[in-house]
Amino acid sequence: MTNHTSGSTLLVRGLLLSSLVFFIGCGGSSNSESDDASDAADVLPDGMILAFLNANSAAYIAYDTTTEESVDLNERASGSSDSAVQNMLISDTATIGFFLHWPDFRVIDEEENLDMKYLLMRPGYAYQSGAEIDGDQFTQLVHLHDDELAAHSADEYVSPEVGSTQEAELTRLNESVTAQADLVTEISEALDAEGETLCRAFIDPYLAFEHEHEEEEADADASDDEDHEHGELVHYALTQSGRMYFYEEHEEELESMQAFVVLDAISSISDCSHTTIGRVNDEGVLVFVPDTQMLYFVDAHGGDFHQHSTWDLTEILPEGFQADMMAVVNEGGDHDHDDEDDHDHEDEDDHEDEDDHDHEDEEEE
Amino acid sequence: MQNRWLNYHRHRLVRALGWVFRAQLCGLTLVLSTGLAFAHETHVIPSVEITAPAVPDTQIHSTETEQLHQQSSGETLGEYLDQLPNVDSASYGPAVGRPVIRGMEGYRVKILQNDVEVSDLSAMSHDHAVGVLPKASERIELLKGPASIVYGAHAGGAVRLIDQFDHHFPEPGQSGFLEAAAGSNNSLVSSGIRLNTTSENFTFSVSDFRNYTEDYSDGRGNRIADSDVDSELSQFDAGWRFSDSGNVFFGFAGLNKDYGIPNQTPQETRIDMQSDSYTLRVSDEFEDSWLGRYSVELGYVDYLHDETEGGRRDGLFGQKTASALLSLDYFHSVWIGKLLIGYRENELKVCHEHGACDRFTFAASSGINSNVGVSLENYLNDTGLPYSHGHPMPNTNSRNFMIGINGDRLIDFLDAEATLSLGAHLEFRDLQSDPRNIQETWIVPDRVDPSYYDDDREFAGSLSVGLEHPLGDRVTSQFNLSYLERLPSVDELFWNGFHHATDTYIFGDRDLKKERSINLDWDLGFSAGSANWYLGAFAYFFDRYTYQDQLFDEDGEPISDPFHLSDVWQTKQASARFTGLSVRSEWSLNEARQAPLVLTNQIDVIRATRSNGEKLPRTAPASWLIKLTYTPGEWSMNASVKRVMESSAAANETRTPAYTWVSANVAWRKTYSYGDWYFWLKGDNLGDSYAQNHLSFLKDSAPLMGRSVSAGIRLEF
Repeated sequence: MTNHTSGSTLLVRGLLLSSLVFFIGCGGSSNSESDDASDAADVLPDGMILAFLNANSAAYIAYDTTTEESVDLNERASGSSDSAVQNMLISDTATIGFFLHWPDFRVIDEEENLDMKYLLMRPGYAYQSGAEIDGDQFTQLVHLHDDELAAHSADEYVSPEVGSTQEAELTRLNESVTAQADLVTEISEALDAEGETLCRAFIDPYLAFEHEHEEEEADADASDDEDHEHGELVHYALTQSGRMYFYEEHEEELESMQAFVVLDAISSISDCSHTTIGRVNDEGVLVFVPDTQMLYFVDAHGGDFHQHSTWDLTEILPEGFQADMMAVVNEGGDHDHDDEDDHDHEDEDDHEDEDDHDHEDEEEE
Repeated sequence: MQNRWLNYHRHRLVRALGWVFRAQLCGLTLVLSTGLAFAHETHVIPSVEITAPAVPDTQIHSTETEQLHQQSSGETLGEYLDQLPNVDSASYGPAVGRPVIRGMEGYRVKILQNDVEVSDLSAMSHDHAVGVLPKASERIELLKGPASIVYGAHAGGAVRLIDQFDHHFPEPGQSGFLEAAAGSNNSLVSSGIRLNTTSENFTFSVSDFRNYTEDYSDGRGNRIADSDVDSELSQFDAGWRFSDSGNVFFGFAGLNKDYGIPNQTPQETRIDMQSDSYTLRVSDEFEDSWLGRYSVELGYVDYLHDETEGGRRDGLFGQKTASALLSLDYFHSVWIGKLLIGYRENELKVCHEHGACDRFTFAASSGINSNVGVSLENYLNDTGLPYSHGHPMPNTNSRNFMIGINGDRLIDFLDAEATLSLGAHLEFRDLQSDPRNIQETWIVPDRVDPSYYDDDREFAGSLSVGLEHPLGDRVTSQFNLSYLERLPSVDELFWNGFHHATDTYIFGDRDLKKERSINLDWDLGFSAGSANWYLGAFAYFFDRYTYQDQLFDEDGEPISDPFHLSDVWQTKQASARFTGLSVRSEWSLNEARQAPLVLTNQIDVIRATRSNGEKLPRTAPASWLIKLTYTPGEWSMNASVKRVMESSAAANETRTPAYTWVSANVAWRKTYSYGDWYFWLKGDNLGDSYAQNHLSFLKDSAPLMGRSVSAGIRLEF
């Protein structure tokens, strides 16, 4: 590494500047130095709400990437008369474990629908094959009410009545958790060949949703049930060393799509349960790593996957906020960098949830 | 001593007035003819003997800016100059036009503001605007041979914009001007103001120029999206005369240029450039010494431009330049000339990160050595090319020390008095690079090249010799021979990444060597009766000519970068040869109201090839300019037709069709007791031709402007 500013450099610059300052008063701003930071927030792709939680203080912030505004969720919950919003309140740090993302597939009016939700799991919860999540193992179940986050209290899911909505939700939740566990197993095995340890595995639930639709239609007459076939869906694998691998499934085997990508400034990921991968658009994901307090946008936009952009959380969150975990609730909007992304979300647009968001924004990008 | 200085400078001044202007002068004082262009009967008036040669000074070609403005189809420096012999404009939409001189572009043409190099990034890439507003200058010089080499080793010579305070203290009093202009097609709105006040010992000047244009239409009536330009130059100058010949000047110039890039990206691409320059100059004359006028100039330029796509800052280019320059005229024994000693420190930073280039930062680091360069190395192993998606260059700091000298002397040559010119230029560069701005996985690791970011200390030495001598009474020959060495620029060495505005992926080459060339220029002037002829020929031979070459795979298909799927260009060096010819004639056809009607013909031809015979891309096609000039009394009129021939095509390049460009302008100046009124009206591309600039990367998406008419008014006082 070179010594960037030598003594003679400073001398000459000093002579110049001291001469000039005599004429122009004192300085003024420099073009080439840091510019207006006010533009800095205009960077994250639209269409996501990012929920950040500090496990020690229970400080709970939501950042809307479309409006580029953040809101204190606890403050909003305390000031609201809406019980769904009140349920967002987190006051007891003893209830904070980690966020569990749940892409909820369900049938409404005979049409399948998908909503992104997340649960705040209680400390001590760990997935065990065959064991099911119930209302005692999480604190709140969060989803969108219109454009804002709202929650169901875990109490609603304790001992649900047979045939109730809550029972059906828990069933779907556990199916999703099992599928995610299968994915983790599958990717972990693939990573063994790389000598890496999996931290987080991710398949875009929206694309999986559409993919399964297409396969169902194409294979309507097929006799054998190709369970667990994800085809050309990208399997994202983040390792504990901060590398991201990309796989596709062919003939029930995972094949590497390209060379791995190393996320900036990660020496190792200390807590994978607090590390997040969330959808940004059809070709990219957002990664949160608490060790670096950074967001990583990894996408392909037509070419290879690469670390497209990074953001320091200090750019978007209130000063001094330390995020221990992040949840992503999005509407699947495309990142507006590229128009190559021509994936159509008509299916999603067609399926309106009676109390949740619609997906119109996906088409706007 | 003073008389000798005056004679020398007078001689230089007469030569520097420019051929067009002097041809009209000669037309008045030497030979005038009557009758139509091709009439046989001529009337010769008595000639007046003058000492200036019949051929223009090819080392210094000086033209009043106002005259260039009248001929220009736009507001870029390239457009101001592109009617001069073998000068073209490398355009990138209407905002960008860097002069290309005798086929030399980019770093091979130096742009000077008075004696100091303009600190911008226009030579780095075709989409970067030149950091000057030519209309703010008083005259513009083209230098070559020994006159140019004193400023640097540039095969295309130097373009020197000279302002009102170049070694000149104004006369006491108040002066200035107000001007405004408007135009059709691109909705041009232009304004300018300059106010000077000068006492015996102090002078102050403020000025402001603004040009605003909206999207223009081409010759087919298509509106060219993102072709708008908004530029503004604000200047402040103050001077103090501390002795009869000595003065101090301080100047500030702030130039902002916000312009669209009319490329084919789906979202709007824009560049917003801001350049603030500060200058402090002290000059005086030595009395009774072989040393003449000297000046010491300190400069500081803070340059920044961003590149946005869809409103997001995807690119940021910042450069800070501090310079010190000693300029010294001398007359020693039989030699008369100029010495320049300069120091220049340049700090360049480049950012490329989608939507996140709001400022320059150092990248975060994991501290794990194996992570350094691992992504770049992956691509090198997989594709053979070290692709990067990080910032495309390390921060660089280059310190240049230069010394340039030239001199003229009279000699006897072939039984006649001739002028011998010599010039030399030495440059030493200390180049430091700091990759801490680059994301660690995209840094070139030691495993790939352990010396990639090492300091470079390089030297370049160049020489030039010129000989001007008569060949009989009516013919004058000027010959320049130069050996030039050019150090590769920092971007040619280090660039590795995507460039949004050009939508290309570019590889520099850290192992580039000095570019070397032998340049031969031969200019012949011939005065015969009512006509003056000028022939300029050149042949430039390059060793290690540095250029960018598009990459193709084994099947001949363009290689695309893995991230944006854009074309990939590699910086290379190869032997190359540039040859060209310009023939220009001026006939004084007729005289009316004591003013001649001057018919000008100019034919330019250039050929550029690599040593293997392959043509180089974006070589200016041949052109033929026919112009009529008439300047009776308060009026000045020009009408011209320029036929630009179909271009040749280099490998993987498409030909550009021929077109005809018709222009006309008329100006009227009237002097009153309180000042001069000046009106002008001009039309460009009056035939509304569909015209493409073969030198432009955007020739398809941004053809030249269709028919336009503009008019302006100025009050000078």
